[in-house]
Amino acid sequence: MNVLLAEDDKVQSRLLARHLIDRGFTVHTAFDAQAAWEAAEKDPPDVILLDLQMPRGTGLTFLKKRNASSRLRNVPVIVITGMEDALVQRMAEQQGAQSIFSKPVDLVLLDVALESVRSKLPQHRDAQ
Amino acid sequence: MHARNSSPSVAATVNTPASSSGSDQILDCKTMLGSVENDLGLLQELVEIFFAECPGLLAQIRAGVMDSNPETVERSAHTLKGALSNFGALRACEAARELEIRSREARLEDAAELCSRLDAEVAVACNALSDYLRGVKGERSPR
Repeated sequence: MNVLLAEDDKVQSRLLARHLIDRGFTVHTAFDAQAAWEAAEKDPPDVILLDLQMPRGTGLTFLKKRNASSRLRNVPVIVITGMEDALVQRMAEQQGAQSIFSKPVDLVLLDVALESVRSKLPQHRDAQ
Repeated sequence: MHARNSSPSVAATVNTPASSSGSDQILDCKTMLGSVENDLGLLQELVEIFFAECPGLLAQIRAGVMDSNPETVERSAHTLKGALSNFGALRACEAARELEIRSREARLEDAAELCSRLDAEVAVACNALSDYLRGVKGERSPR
């Protein structure tokens, strides 16, 4: 499964990437919102892990653009955020974020969320 | 892939003498080692990334405070807070968080002092991280 990891904190990004790679995911990283958008449009991933606060745009604007894009509309987005503001988290939910994780991310729960995405992928369903 | 190691026993070196828990803590080893699933090779890599990123983030925060630019300060303080939280650097994290909140509320008039506090707390956390890794390497090297 291809994961686009959009996170500007390079420590957090490396930590999550390593965790995902160890679990067999293919990971592409982007360190700002614009780079994440360009990477997603160029090669739509199976799932996007999205930080809400990044340079060159925000996670919320990313979600709005994704909702308007026929190419990316159906790509699930899991939000990872250090923003404690409940309103912002609710807005992300309203914009279609599948799950929202506060930092530091609970990796066990993240695995569950990713497994849920993987189980719905067409190639996974075909294999069963 | 790095081999997973058991938790080293040098955790005591990263706490203040007065207190080893709560907001007085320089580093929370349990959080730090939990983040890397006890992989000390990965921890070393993360610390190197942090040391490379940290000066730039602090410079952006200082420049944002000088220029009264709350957006820059908020974003950089937020990123720094996130990076520090991976190491359980609670005191430095709290200073970054205060700056982030002040920026969000556009209250940067007297933030220079807070900025200096953040610089100092980050320096203490960085020293503690270096000491920690040195201690771990010392424990692992053949005698």
